[in-house]
Amino acid sequence: MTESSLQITSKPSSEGLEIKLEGALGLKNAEASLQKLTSLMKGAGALVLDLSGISYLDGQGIAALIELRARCAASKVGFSIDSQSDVAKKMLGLVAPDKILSPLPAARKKESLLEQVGGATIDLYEDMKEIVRFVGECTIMIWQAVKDPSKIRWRSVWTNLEKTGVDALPIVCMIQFMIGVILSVLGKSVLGMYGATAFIPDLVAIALAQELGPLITAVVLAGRSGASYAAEIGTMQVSEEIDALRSMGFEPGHFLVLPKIIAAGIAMPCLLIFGNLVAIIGSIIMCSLTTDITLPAYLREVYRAVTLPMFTEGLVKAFFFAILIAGVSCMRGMQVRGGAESVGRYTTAAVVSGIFITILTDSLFTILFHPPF
Amino acid sequence: MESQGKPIFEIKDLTIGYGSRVVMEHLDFTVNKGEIFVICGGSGCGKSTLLKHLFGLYSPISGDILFNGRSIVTADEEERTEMVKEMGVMFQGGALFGSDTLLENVMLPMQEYTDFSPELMERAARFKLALFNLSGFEHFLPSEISGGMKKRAALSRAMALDPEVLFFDEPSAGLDPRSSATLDDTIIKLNASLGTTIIIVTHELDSIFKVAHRVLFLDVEKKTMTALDSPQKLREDKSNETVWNFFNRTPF
Repeated sequence: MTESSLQITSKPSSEGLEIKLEGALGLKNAEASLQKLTSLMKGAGALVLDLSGISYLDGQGIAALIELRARCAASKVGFSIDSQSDVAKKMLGLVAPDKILSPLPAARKKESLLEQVGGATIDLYEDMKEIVRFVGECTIMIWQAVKDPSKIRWRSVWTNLEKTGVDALPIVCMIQFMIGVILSVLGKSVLGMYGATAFIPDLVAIALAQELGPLITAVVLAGRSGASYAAEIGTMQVSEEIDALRSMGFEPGHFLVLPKIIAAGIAMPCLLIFGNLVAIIGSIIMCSLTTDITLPAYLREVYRAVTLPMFTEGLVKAFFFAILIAGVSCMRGMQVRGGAESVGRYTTAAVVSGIFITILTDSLFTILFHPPF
Repeated sequence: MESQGKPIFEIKDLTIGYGSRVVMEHLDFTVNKGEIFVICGGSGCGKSTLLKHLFGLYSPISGDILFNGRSIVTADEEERTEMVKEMGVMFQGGALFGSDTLLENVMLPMQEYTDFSPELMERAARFKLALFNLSGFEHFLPSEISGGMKKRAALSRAMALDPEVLFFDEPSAGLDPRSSATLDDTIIKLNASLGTTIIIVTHELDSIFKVAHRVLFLDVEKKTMTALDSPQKLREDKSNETVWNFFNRTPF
């Protein structure tokens, strides 16, 4: 804004230090003027301001005067305004200074460590309950869908299948390819010490089919599709689309969640098979470059090592990981309340819960398939 | 104000749109200092788009926008930042930053653009909030207050640097009649006390008749401006049928 400078002149009087302000007091000189006035305040018994020469005063200027008044009060110096120009009068009349002088209510109290730990524990417990409840709901939903598949929204399943499956194929294959390469290098350096490089195919194939394949694909699914499910449903929650569905008598679980769970359940085993094949290719390339294992020897070894139960175990795991990740991510989306910030928070939570629940289920499966006792 | 009446915005043969799709063309008008200027027209005619061009958020397809005699279209980054500091915008939904309290929201522009000490900054931010009756809500988050309060808080933030011009995008949308009337009063008060130029996008007739000095009418079918006058004159002028229908609320 158009501002000229402010002239500050002071002379002692019977009532205290009389200060005359002339010119403009605003955004550009508020801080400097405040500092000058504060230095004049020190040593004075009282300040008497003469604002009759003020030609421009804005919100920042008023804030400076109010801050000066607060500083005067703090150092027990009197403060009064003697005369005002029309401009000053109009501006100062906008807001009662008490509203800005009263001490600000204390900002939110920070919780103590104990309260934080306690709060977090309760939250975790509530969250676990919520997950269990949601898993239960999903199970019922899936059971009803199995009983009457015609009620499933197949078009939505197709769309989700494309997003979760086909679109994820490149990244899954790329990651699995590199895992194949890494395992071969690792296999060569460890098995090589015992002269057992011929068993690299066994190592790679078993690890991929049974454990690493499902796990890595699940992590990609949680990061990619899980996040997208949560964000999609969360945004719908924010924009009241979920409420709109309910108002029309649709069950959002059946409408939104079920197609996603089915799509993930179908897509994930397919992704696993493709991913594992690509990983084997990666391993073959690495082996042919660094060892003397031939292609037929490699394939023969894989065929011998991977049994049907092993292969099935991987597929079963992948299937369960997928429906759990999809379910938990959708649940996180449903939990969104408020605005955009909440969508971000729950999307993060979806990925974390997805990966956590995958590892948890994996350990349960390991005990189930290979009982230690 | 001495400078009152001089043009603050000069819009010269402006064509706006998205990509190659033209929304409005041949826009020629000026906004004067200290004026309350309303941009109105039917839904989807490009009112908000035009507003966003005025404060430099979008670049026009062709034409020029002069702010205080300098082009905002060809301005480089630094010049544009200088210009934007003189403009305050209140978005339709408030657009307050959700993770910051109201006080922090209002203080943000000051933190970035002034040399204020923290005490002065807090005082100034509290003044802006008090100006719109939000004293006592300084530590509230945007999610904890009502729609009307959000709008007022957004206005406080738009006023943070005492800008020369204030933009309002649909200020009364979603407000109850009393909140809406209060906001109208606030607009008039701001204009009268601080001499702030105010540019409003709205199609609320009550509000237009109460606050507007001049109204620009955008015709969605002709894709250009078809009237620019005081709201009272536009309501009475029967020569322009579309405008007359709009101001007299004639059904389709």
